[in-house]
Amino acid sequence: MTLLVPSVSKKVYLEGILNEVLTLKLYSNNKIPAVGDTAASYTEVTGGGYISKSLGFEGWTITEASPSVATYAFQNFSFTGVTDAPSTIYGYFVVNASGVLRWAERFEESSVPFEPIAGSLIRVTPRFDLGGL
Amino acid sequence: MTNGQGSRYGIPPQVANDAIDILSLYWTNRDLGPEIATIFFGASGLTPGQFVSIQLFPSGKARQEFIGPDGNISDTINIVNSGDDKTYDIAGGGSFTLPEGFWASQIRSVLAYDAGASPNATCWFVIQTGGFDPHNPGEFTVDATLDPPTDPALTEPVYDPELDQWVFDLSWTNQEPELGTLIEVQNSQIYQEGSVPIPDELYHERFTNEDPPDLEWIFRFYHYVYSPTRRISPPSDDLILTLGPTPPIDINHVMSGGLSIGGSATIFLLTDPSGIYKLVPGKTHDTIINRANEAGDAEEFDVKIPEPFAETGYL
Repeated sequence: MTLLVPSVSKKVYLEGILNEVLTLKLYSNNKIPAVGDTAASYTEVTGGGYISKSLGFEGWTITEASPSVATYAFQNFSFTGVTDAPSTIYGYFVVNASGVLRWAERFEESSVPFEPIAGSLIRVTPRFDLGGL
Repeated sequence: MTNGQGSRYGIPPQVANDAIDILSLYWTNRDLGPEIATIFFGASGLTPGQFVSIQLFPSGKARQEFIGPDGNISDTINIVNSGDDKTYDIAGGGSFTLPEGFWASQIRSVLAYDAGASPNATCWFVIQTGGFDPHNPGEFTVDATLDPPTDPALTEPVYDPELDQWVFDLSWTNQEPELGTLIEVQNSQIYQEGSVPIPDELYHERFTNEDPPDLEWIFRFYHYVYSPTRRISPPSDDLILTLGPTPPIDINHVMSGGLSIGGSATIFLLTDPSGIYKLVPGKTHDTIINRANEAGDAEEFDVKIPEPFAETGYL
Protein backbone atom coordinates (compact mmCIF):
# COMPACT_ATOMS: atom_id res chain seq x y z
CA MET A 1 0.00 0.00 0.00
CA THR A 2 1.38 3.43 -0.94
CA LEU A 3 1.75 6.23 1.55
CA LEU A 4 -1.02 8.76 1.04
CA VAL A 5 -0.86 12.40 2.02
CA PRO A 6 -4.28 14.07 1.95
CA SER A 7 -4.71 17.38 0.16
CA VAL A 8 -5.27 19.25 3.39
CA SER A 9 -1.89 18.10 4.59
CA LYS A 10 -0.17 18.97 1.34
CA LYS A 11 -1.37 22.52 1.76
CA VAL A 12 0.12 22.60 5.24
CA TYR A 13 3.41 21.26 3.91
CA LEU A 14 3.51 23.95 1.23
CA GLU A 15 2.84 26.62 3.81
CA GLY A 16 5.69 25.30 5.84
CA ILE A 17 8.07 25.30 2.89
CA LEU A 18 7.19 28.76 1.65
CA ASN A 19 6.64 30.55 4.95
CA GLU A 20 9.80 32.58 4.87
CA VAL A 21 11.11 35.54 2.95
CA LEU A 22 12.52 34.21 -0.28
CA THR A 23 14.45 36.08 -2.91
CA LEU A 24 14.31 35.22 -6.57
CA LYS A 25 17.56 35.86 -8.40
CA LEU A 26 18.94 35.30 -11.84
CA TYR A 27 22.33 33.71 -12.35
CA SER A 28 24.91 34.42 -14.99
CA ASN A 29 27.24 31.45 -14.84
CA ASN A 30 26.76 28.42 -17.04
CA LYS A 31 25.49 26.19 -14.28
CA ILE A 32 23.31 23.15 -14.37
CA PRO A 33 21.68 22.82 -10.95
CA ALA A 34 22.92 19.83 -9.00
CA VAL A 35 22.09 18.18 -5.71
CA GLY A 36 25.25 19.38 -3.97
CA ASP A 37 24.78 23.03 -4.89
CA THR A 38 24.82 25.93 -2.48
CA ALA A 39 24.01 29.56 -3.10
CA ALA A 40 27.69 30.09 -3.83
CA SER A 41 27.33 27.81 -6.82
CA TYR A 42 25.41 30.54 -8.59
CA THR A 43 26.67 33.93 -9.70
CA GLU A 44 23.96 36.52 -9.40
CA VAL A 45 23.42 38.85 -12.33
CA THR A 46 24.46 42.46 -11.77
CA GLY A 47 24.03 45.61 -13.80
CA GLY A 48 21.79 46.37 -16.71
CA GLY A 49 18.94 47.41 -14.45
CA TYR A 50 18.72 43.98 -12.86
CA ILE A 51 16.96 43.88 -9.49
CA SER A 52 16.27 40.69 -7.56
CA LYS A 53 12.70 40.00 -6.50
CA SER A 54 11.43 39.36 -3.01
CA LEU A 55 8.82 36.64 -2.62
CA GLY A 56 6.93 37.22 0.59
CA PHE A 57 4.82 34.46 2.05
CA GLU A 58 1.73 36.64 1.82
CA GLY A 59 2.07 36.69 -1.94
CA TRP A 60 1.66 32.95 -2.40
CA THR A 61 -1.71 31.55 -3.31
CA ILE A 62 -1.89 27.99 -2.08
CA THR A 63 -4.62 25.78 -3.41
CA GLU A 64 -5.70 22.74 -1.46
CA ALA A 65 -6.08 20.06 -4.09
CA SER A 66 -4.30 17.08 -5.50
CA PRO A 67 -1.72 18.15 -6.27
CA SER A 68 -1.74 21.16 -3.97
CA VAL A 69 -0.18 24.08 -5.79
CA ALA A 70 1.34 27.33 -4.62
CA THR A 71 1.46 30.10 -7.17
CA TYR A 72 2.82 33.62 -7.11
CA ALA A 73 2.33 36.60 -9.37
CA PHE A 74 4.80 36.60 -12.20
CA GLN A 75 7.99 38.51 -11.64
CA ASN A 76 9.35 40.67 -14.42
CA PHE A 77 13.03 41.38 -14.80
CA SER A 78 13.25 44.32 -17.16
CA PHE A 79 16.63 45.43 -18.36
CA THR A 80 17.91 48.84 -19.26
CA GLY A 81 21.03 47.58 -20.97
CA VAL A 82 23.68 44.92 -21.09
CA THR A 83 24.39 43.28 -17.74
CA ASP A 84 27.84 43.09 -16.23
CA ALA A 85 30.28 40.45 -17.45
CA PRO A 86 29.76 37.76 -18.51
CA SER A 87 26.57 39.49 -19.67
CA THR A 88 24.70 36.22 -19.78
CA ILE A 89 21.74 34.71 -17.97
CA TYR A 90 21.20 30.99 -17.63
CA GLY A 91 18.49 30.57 -15.04
CA TYR A 92 17.19 31.53 -11.64
CA PHE A 93 17.80 30.51 -8.07
CA VAL A 94 15.92 31.16 -4.87
CA VAL A 95 17.49 31.82 -1.48
CA ASN A 96 16.00 32.50 1.91
CA ALA A 97 16.73 35.41 4.23
CA SER A 98 19.84 33.63 5.51
CA GLY A 99 21.17 33.20 2.01
CA VAL A 100 20.58 29.46 1.97
CA LEU A 101 19.80 28.06 -1.46
CA ARG A 102 16.23 26.81 -1.65
CA TRP A 103 15.92 25.76 -5.25
CA ALA A 104 17.25 26.62 -8.67
CA GLU A 105 16.31 26.01 -12.24
CA ARG A 106 18.01 26.55 -15.52
CA PHE A 107 16.00 28.12 -18.28
CA GLU A 108 15.17 26.09 -21.32
CA GLU A 109 18.27 25.28 -23.33
CA SER A 110 16.81 27.02 -26.34
CA SER A 111 16.86 30.30 -24.35
CA VAL A 112 20.33 30.21 -22.89
CA PRO A 113 22.72 31.85 -22.77
CA PHE A 114 20.46 34.88 -22.80
CA GLU A 115 22.22 38.19 -23.26
CA PRO A 116 19.86 41.03 -22.34
CA ILE A 117 19.86 44.46 -23.90
CA ALA A 118 17.84 47.56 -23.15
CA GLY A 119 14.17 46.64 -23.19
CA SER A 120 14.74 42.94 -22.65
CA LEU A 121 12.30 41.23 -20.37
CA ILE A 122 12.51 37.99 -18.45
CA ARG A 123 9.33 36.90 -16.77
CA VAL A 124 9.44 34.17 -14.15
CA THR A 125 6.25 32.82 -12.66
CA PRO A 126 6.91 31.18 -9.29
CA ARG A 127 5.12 27.92 -8.81
CA PHE A 128 5.52 25.10 -6.34
CA ASP A 129 3.44 21.99 -6.02
CA LEU A 130 3.22 18.88 -3.97
CA GLY A 131 2.25 16.10 -6.27
CA GLY A 132 3.14 12.55 -7.10
CA LEU A 133 0.75 11.07 -4.59
CA MET B 1 -14.85 74.87 -8.42
CA THR B 2 -12.91 76.52 -11.13
CA ASN B 3 -9.73 75.89 -12.88
CA GLY B 4 -7.75 77.26 -15.69
CA GLN B 5 -4.44 77.67 -17.37
CA GLY B 6 -2.76 80.78 -18.54
CA SER B 7 -4.72 83.95 -19.04
CA ARG B 8 -7.39 82.69 -21.35
CA TYR B 9 -9.11 79.93 -19.57
CA GLY B 10 -11.39 79.59 -16.62
CA ILE B 11 -14.89 78.49 -15.84
CA PRO B 12 -17.23 79.76 -13.16
CA PRO B 13 -16.84 78.03 -9.84
CA GLN B 14 -19.76 76.06 -8.58
CA VAL B 15 -21.15 75.86 -5.12
CA ALA B 16 -24.02 73.53 -4.41
CA ASN B 17 -24.82 73.57 -8.08
CA ASP B 18 -25.14 77.36 -8.24
CA ALA B 19 -22.82 79.11 -10.62
CA ILE B 20 -20.67 81.99 -9.44
CA ASP B 21 -19.56 84.51 -11.97
CA ILE B 22 -15.96 85.15 -12.65
CA LEU B 23 -15.71 88.82 -13.37
CA SER B 24 -12.26 88.64 -14.77
CA LEU B 25 -9.15 86.58 -14.76
CA TYR B 26 -5.71 88.10 -15.13
CA TRP B 27 -2.25 86.76 -15.38
CA THR B 28 0.80 88.97 -15.17
CA ASN B 29 3.35 89.56 -17.84
CA ARG B 30 5.96 86.87 -17.37
CA ASP B 31 8.74 89.39 -17.93
CA LEU B 32 7.81 91.23 -14.78
CA GLY B 33 8.75 88.44 -12.49
CA PRO B 34 7.00 85.61 -10.82
CA GLU B 35 3.76 84.39 -12.24
CA ILE B 36 0.64 85.90 -10.75
CA ALA B 37 -2.94 84.86 -11.15
CA THR B 38 -5.67 87.26 -10.13
CA ILE B 39 -9.23 86.06 -10.15
CA PHE B 40 -12.15 88.32 -9.42
CA PHE B 41 -15.38 86.69 -8.51
CA GLY B 42 -18.86 88.03 -8.45
CA ALA B 43 -20.55 87.93 -5.09
CA SER B 44 -23.48 85.72 -5.84
CA GLY B 45 -23.73 82.95 -3.32
CA LEU B 46 -20.08 82.98 -2.37
CA THR B 47 -19.31 83.06 1.31
CA PRO B 48 -15.94 82.73 2.96
CA GLY B 49 -16.82 79.35 4.26
CA GLN B 50 -17.41 78.09 0.80
CA PHE B 51 -14.09 79.31 -0.41
CA VAL B 52 -12.01 76.70 1.24
CA SER B 53 -8.93 75.88 -0.73
CA ILE B 54 -6.65 76.85 -3.49
CA GLN B 55 -4.48 74.37 -5.21
CA LEU B 56 -1.61 75.36 -7.45
CA PHE B 57 0.16 73.32 -10.02
CA PRO B 58 3.33 75.29 -10.66
CA SER B 59 5.30 74.08 -13.59
CA GLY B 60 8.52 72.34 -12.78
CA LYS B 61 7.05 70.77 -9.70
CA ALA B 62 5.77 67.29 -10.04
CA ARG B 63 3.49 67.24 -7.07
CA GLN B 64 0.29 69.02 -6.34
CA GLU B 65 0.48 71.58 -3.61
CA PHE B 66 -1.93 73.24 -1.28
CA ILE B 67 -1.01 76.43 0.49
CA GLY B 68 -1.90 76.19 4.13
CA PRO B 69 -2.81 79.13 6.34
CA ASP B 70 0.29 78.43 8.37
CA GLY B 71 2.37 79.16 5.32
CA ASN B 72 3.32 75.58 4.78
CA ILE B 73 2.37 73.15 2.10
CA SER B 74 -0.49 71.06 3.34
CA ASP B 75 -3.37 68.97 2.19
CA THR B 76 -5.87 71.77 2.18
CA ILE B 77 -6.38 75.39 3.14
CA ASN B 78 -9.22 76.82 5.17
CA ILE B 79 -9.83 80.54 4.94
CA VAL B 80 -11.86 82.19 7.65
CA ASN B 81 -13.62 85.53 7.50
CA SER B 82 -11.28 87.71 9.52
CA GLY B 83 -11.76 90.82 7.43
CA ASP B 84 -8.04 91.46 7.43
CA ASP B 85 -5.38 90.99 4.88
CA LYS B 86 -4.00 87.54 4.88
CA THR B 87 -0.79 86.42 3.37
CA TYR B 88 0.10 82.82 2.87
CA ASP B 89 3.56 81.86 1.84
CA ILE B 90 4.07 79.56 -1.03
CA ALA B 91 7.05 77.31 -1.21
CA GLY B 92 9.88 79.23 -2.78
CA GLY B 93 9.08 82.55 -1.18
CA GLY B 94 5.90 83.59 -2.95
CA SER B 95 2.79 84.79 -1.23
CA PHE B 96 -0.93 84.48 -1.41
CA THR B 97 -2.75 87.65 -0.47
CA LEU B 98 -6.34 88.51 0.25
CA PRO B 99 -6.84 92.27 0.13
CA GLU B 100 -8.21 94.15 3.09
CA GLY B 101 -11.94 94.09 3.24
CA PHE B 102 -12.02 91.22 0.84
CA TRP B 103 -14.71 89.30 2.57
CA ALA B 104 -16.89 92.30 3.19
CA SER B 105 -16.74 93.49 -0.36
CA GLN B 106 -18.92 92.52 -3.23
CA ILE B 107 -15.87 91.47 -5.17
CA ARG B 108 -14.06 88.30 -4.46
CA SER B 109 -10.49 88.45 -5.52
CA VAL B 110 -7.60 86.14 -5.12
CA LEU B 111 -4.02 86.82 -5.90
CA ALA B 112 -1.76 83.85 -6.14
CA TYR B 113 1.66 83.38 -7.54
CA ASP B 114 4.57 81.07 -7.32
CA ALA B 115 7.93 82.77 -7.00
CA GLY B 116 9.66 79.52 -7.71
CA ALA B 117 8.31 79.29 -11.21
CA SER B 118 10.34 80.52 -14.13
CA PRO B 119 9.11 83.71 -15.84
CA ASN B 120 7.75 81.76 -18.77
CA ALA B 121 6.22 79.02 -16.69
CA THR B 122 2.58 78.15 -16.72
CA CYS B 123 0.81 77.79 -13.45
CA TRP B 124 -2.27 75.66 -13.25
CA PHE B 125 -4.65 76.53 -10.53
CA VAL B 126 -7.69 74.94 -9.00
CA ILE B 127 -9.96 76.74 -6.61
CA GLN B 128 -12.14 74.54 -4.49
CA THR B 129 -15.29 76.28 -3.39
CA GLY B 130 -17.51 73.48 -2.28
CA GLY B 131 -17.54 70.88 0.39
CA PHE B 132 -17.15 72.42 3.82
CA ASP B 133 -18.12 75.64 5.50
CA PRO B 134 -16.15 76.36 8.70
CA HIS B 135 -18.97 78.64 9.85
CA ASN B 136 -21.50 75.95 9.26
CA PRO B 137 -20.08 72.58 10.26
CA GLY B 138 -22.64 70.72 8.24
CA GLU B 139 -21.50 69.52 4.89
CA PHE B 140 -22.80 70.89 1.67
CA THR B 141 -25.11 68.79 -0.33
CA VAL B 142 -23.50 68.10 -3.64
CA ASP B 143 -24.53 66.03 -6.51
CA ALA B 144 -22.42 62.95 -6.03
CA THR B 145 -23.77 61.16 -9.03
CA LEU B 146 -20.93 59.86 -11.06
CA ASP B 147 -21.41 60.12 -14.75
CA PRO B 148 -19.61 57.33 -16.49
CA PRO B 149 -16.66 58.41 -18.57
CA THR B 150 -16.87 57.85 -22.28
CA ASP B 151 -14.33 56.65 -24.79
CA PRO B 152 -11.79 55.37 -22.28
CA ALA B 153 -8.56 54.14 -23.79
CA LEU B 154 -5.07 53.17 -22.78
CA THR B 155 -1.93 54.01 -24.66
CA GLU B 156 0.92 51.69 -25.39
CA PRO B 157 3.29 51.51 -22.42
CA VAL B 158 6.65 53.11 -23.00
CA TYR B 159 9.74 52.69 -20.88
CA ASP B 160 11.08 56.01 -19.58
CA PRO B 161 14.77 55.57 -18.71
CA GLU B 162 14.86 58.77 -16.69
CA LEU B 163 12.00 57.71 -14.48
CA ASP B 164 13.09 54.08 -14.67
CA GLN B 165 9.40 53.39 -15.04
CA TRP B 166 7.00 52.17 -17.64
CA VAL B 167 4.55 54.90 -18.53
CA PHE B 168 1.13 54.74 -20.09
CA ASP B 169 -1.89 56.99 -20.21
CA LEU B 170 -5.55 56.51 -19.56
CA SER B 171 -7.78 58.93 -21.40
CA TRP B 172 -11.49 59.47 -21.29
CA THR B 173 -14.07 62.11 -21.97
CA ASN B 174 -16.03 63.53 -19.12
CA GLN B 175 -19.76 63.96 -19.62
CA GLU B 176 -20.93 66.08 -16.75
CA PRO B 177 -19.24 68.63 -14.52
CA GLU B 178 -19.68 66.64 -11.29
CA LEU B 179 -20.13 69.85 -9.40
CA GLY B 180 -17.96 70.57 -6.45
CA THR B 181 -16.02 67.39 -6.63
CA LEU B 182 -13.01 65.80 -8.10
CA ILE B 183 -12.76 62.52 -9.92
CA GLU B 184 -10.46 59.88 -8.61
CA VAL B 185 -9.22 57.05 -10.76
CA GLN B 186 -7.70 53.97 -9.31
CA ASN B 187 -6.95 50.41 -10.19
CA SER B 188 -5.55 47.49 -8.30
CA GLN B 189 -1.99 48.69 -8.50
CA ILE B 190 -1.99 52.40 -9.12
CA TYR B 191 -3.84 55.18 -7.37
CA GLN B 192 -4.48 58.50 -9.02
CA GLU B 193 -6.68 61.40 -8.23
CA GLY B 194 -7.28 64.99 -8.99
CA SER B 195 -8.93 65.22 -12.36
CA VAL B 196 -11.14 68.28 -12.29
CA PRO B 197 -14.35 67.39 -14.09
CA ILE B 198 -15.30 69.61 -16.97
CA PRO B 199 -18.01 68.62 -19.42
CA ASP B 200 -16.88 67.22 -22.73
CA GLU B 201 -13.26 67.57 -21.75
CA LEU B 202 -10.73 64.96 -22.79
CA TYR B 203 -8.78 63.82 -19.78
CA HIS B 204 -5.52 62.04 -19.36
CA GLU B 205 -4.16 60.34 -16.31
CA ARG B 206 -0.57 59.20 -16.49
CA PHE B 207 0.31 55.96 -14.81
CA THR B 208 3.77 54.69 -14.10
CA ASN B 209 4.82 51.22 -13.21
CA GLU B 210 8.17 49.82 -12.18
CA ASP B 211 7.70 46.72 -14.27
CA PRO B 212 6.22 46.31 -17.71
CA PRO B 213 2.53 46.63 -17.01
CA ASP B 214 0.07 43.82 -17.18
CA LEU B 215 -2.02 43.53 -20.28
CA GLU B 216 -5.31 44.05 -18.57
CA TRP B 217 -6.20 46.81 -16.15
CA ILE B 218 -9.29 47.43 -14.10
CA PHE B 219 -10.17 51.02 -13.38
CA ARG B 220 -12.72 52.52 -11.07
CA PHE B 221 -13.81 56.10 -11.04
CA TYR B 222 -14.76 57.72 -7.77
CA HIS B 223 -16.48 60.96 -7.12
CA TYR B 224 -15.47 62.75 -3.99
CA VAL B 225 -15.78 66.06 -2.26
CA TYR B 226 -13.42 67.98 -0.10
CA SER B 227 -14.75 67.71 3.38
CA PRO B 228 -13.54 66.83 6.86
CA THR B 229 -14.34 63.23 6.10
CA ARG B 230 -13.42 63.46 2.45
CA ARG B 231 -16.50 61.61 1.55
CA ILE B 232 -16.19 59.41 -1.45
CA SER B 233 -18.99 58.23 -3.62
CA PRO B 234 -19.57 54.60 -4.44
CA PRO B 235 -17.23 53.56 -7.19
CA SER B 236 -18.23 53.25 -10.77
CA ASP B 237 -18.53 49.88 -12.36
CA ASP B 238 -15.22 48.25 -13.14
CA LEU B 239 -13.76 49.49 -16.34
CA ILE B 240 -11.62 46.81 -17.89
CA LEU B 241 -9.16 48.02 -20.46
CA THR B 242 -6.42 46.31 -22.37
CA LEU B 243 -3.14 47.97 -23.08
CA GLY B 244 -1.81 48.39 -26.54
CA PRO B 245 1.16 46.35 -27.74
CA THR B 246 3.18 45.05 -24.83
CA PRO B 247 6.92 44.94 -24.57
CA PRO B 248 8.34 41.69 -25.89
CA ILE B 249 8.98 38.97 -23.38
CA ASP B 250 12.27 37.36 -24.16
CA ILE B 251 12.02 34.56 -21.63
CA ASN B 252 8.68 33.62 -20.16
CA HIS B 253 9.40 30.91 -17.68
CA VAL B 254 7.05 29.15 -15.32
CA MET B 255 8.84 27.39 -12.54
CA SER B 256 8.68 23.66 -12.86
CA GLY B 257 7.91 23.40 -9.17
CA GLY B 258 6.99 20.02 -7.89
CA LEU B 259 7.93 18.03 -4.87
CA SER B 260 6.92 14.45 -4.20
CA ILE B 261 6.46 13.14 -0.72
CA GLY B 262 6.68 9.56 0.34
CA GLY B 263 6.95 6.56 -1.94
CA SER B 264 6.27 2.99 -0.99
CA ALA B 265 7.55 1.13 2.07
CA THR B 266 7.37 -2.52 1.04
CA ILE B 267 6.55 -4.98 3.76
CA PHE B 268 6.96 -8.67 3.11
CA LEU B 269 4.80 -11.04 5.01
CA LEU B 270 6.03 -14.58 4.83
CA THR B 271 2.98 -16.78 4.60
CA ASP B 272 4.65 -20.14 4.90
CA PRO B 273 8.30 -19.78 5.59
CA SER B 274 10.70 -22.58 6.25
CA GLY B 275 14.42 -22.52 6.49
CA ILE B 276 16.99 -24.77 4.90
CA TYR B 277 20.21 -24.14 6.65
CA LYS B 278 23.24 -25.26 4.79
CA LEU B 279 26.46 -24.12 6.35
CA VAL B 280 28.91 -23.04 3.70
CA PRO B 281 32.41 -21.99 4.76
CA GLY B 282 32.84 -18.22 4.28
CA LYS B 283 29.17 -17.53 3.57
CA THR B 284 27.71 -14.96 5.96
CA HIS B 285 24.06 -15.43 5.15
CA ASP B 286 21.62 -18.21 4.71
CA THR B 287 18.54 -18.70 2.62
CA ILE B 288 14.95 -19.04 3.60
CA ILE B 289 12.50 -20.43 1.14
CA ASN B 290 9.00 -19.10 1.38
CA ARG B 291 7.12 -22.01 -0.04
CA ALA B 292 3.95 -20.11 -0.79
CA ASN B 293 3.75 -16.37 -1.03
CA GLU B 294 0.56 -14.42 -1.63
CA ALA B 295 0.69 -15.32 -5.29
CA GLY B 296 1.21 -18.97 -4.50
CA ASP B 297 4.81 -19.00 -5.72
CA ALA B 298 7.89 -20.01 -3.83
CA GLU B 299 10.38 -17.26 -3.00
CA GLU B 300 13.84 -17.29 -1.54
CA PHE B 301 15.15 -14.70 0.92
CA ASP B 302 18.66 -14.34 2.20
CA VAL B 303 18.84 -13.81 5.93
CA LYS B 304 21.75 -13.01 8.13
CA ILE B 305 23.36 -15.71 10.18
CA PRO B 306 23.70 -14.25 13.67
CA GLU B 307 27.26 -15.43 14.18
CA PRO B 308 28.53 -17.16 11.08
CA PHE B 309 31.97 -17.79 12.46
CA ALA B 310 30.98 -19.35 15.73
CA GLU B 311 32.82 -22.52 16.35
CA THR B 312 30.98 -25.78 16.73
CA GLY B 313 32.17 -29.10 17.81
CA TYR B 314 30.77 -30.97 14.87
CA LEU B 315 32.71 -29.72 11.86
